[in-house]
Amino acid sequence: MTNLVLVSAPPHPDATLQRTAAQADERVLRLVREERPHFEIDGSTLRAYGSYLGLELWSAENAFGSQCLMAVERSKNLFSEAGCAPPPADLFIDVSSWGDAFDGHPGEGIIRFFLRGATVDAYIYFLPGAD
Amino acid sequence: MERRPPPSDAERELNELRARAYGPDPDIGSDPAALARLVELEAAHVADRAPRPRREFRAPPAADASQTAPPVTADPAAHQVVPPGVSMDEAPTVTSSINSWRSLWRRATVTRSRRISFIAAIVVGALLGYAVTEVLGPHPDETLHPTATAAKDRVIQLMAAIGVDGDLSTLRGFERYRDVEPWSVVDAEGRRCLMALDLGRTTGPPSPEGWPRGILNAQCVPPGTELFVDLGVWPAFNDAYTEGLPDGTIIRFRLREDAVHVFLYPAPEAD
Repeated sequence: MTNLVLVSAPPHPDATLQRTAAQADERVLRLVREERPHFEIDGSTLRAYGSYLGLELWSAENAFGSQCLMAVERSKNLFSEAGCAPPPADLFIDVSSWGDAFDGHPGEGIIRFFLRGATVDAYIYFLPGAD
Repeated sequence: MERRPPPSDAERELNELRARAYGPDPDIGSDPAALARLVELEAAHVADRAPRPRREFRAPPAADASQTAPPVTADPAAHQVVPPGVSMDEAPTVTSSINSWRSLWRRATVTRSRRISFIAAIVVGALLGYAVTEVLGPHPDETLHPTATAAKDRVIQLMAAIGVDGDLSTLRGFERYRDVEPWSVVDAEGRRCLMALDLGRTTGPPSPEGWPRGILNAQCVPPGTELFVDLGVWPAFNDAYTEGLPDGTIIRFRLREDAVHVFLYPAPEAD
């Protein structure tokens, strides 16, 4: 097993979100419990990274020793995307402008959020030719 | 006061690349072409500045090297460890190798400029290795090749059920991995899609051999974007592909040009 980077991400993220001191409110805790119960996320480990294009980014640890990354669409009261990965796997999630209840993409495409310790990098990918 | 000639194009290029490699915000690790060019220019730079050797360097014969090597007690690697049954006469190659490296180090670091160039070459080499690894990626646990399958009609049904409007001429199935069959397709919008189909042969109601029961996960991305699909191993579910894997494990599928790479990341064992 290797801990080398699997994803050859672009050299510069479109945004880097710093960890904040925000505490998880009841809505986020409820989403963790109800939207992805099988992840078995420990709510006491939730950490916030602020918002980007309408998505709140949170990370947490789960019962299986993995880190999890979640993109919360608060106005719709749901996770647009969430994923967990045990070390040494890279942990990233793709939020698409199709199928993930996400309207904040500046065009059509995906945003790849990449957890990098105390920050989350965001990379925007556009679908060519889309309006 | 001696005036320095204006820098040549190569020197300017070298300085720019050095700034990208060693500057405050290095970004050259993600640009293999620039890294390769930096290595090339560094090598040329060192060659230009190094004094021309008067005669060809030849390493001394191994036996001589073992006799002339200074005793080094701080470096445990320098101690010869001779396996039982092997005489000391059979072991001088190790010392010779160490002497060669010491000689190389001395020659490479004898002046400040050489030290800088030598260290720069090491840094560039490390960056180049990292960049190559990043571009090529770590070695997958499995590589799944395209395969002919009779279940295309079923896959088309499943694909339509999740709203993927695939161009059927691009639909490809790949070899199975743990009861999972990856399929790729390009949809009507030009998105590349990867779908993990559940063959479910070991649990659940029986299905005809090779007849997928459903889609476990799917992802579509714009062209030019690396495409991954993760499958998790969760105790709340009883998917066939999870058999024997610790809870919390993920299986990552990555679509490449003519194959699907599989990376298995087992969850750490619980205490």
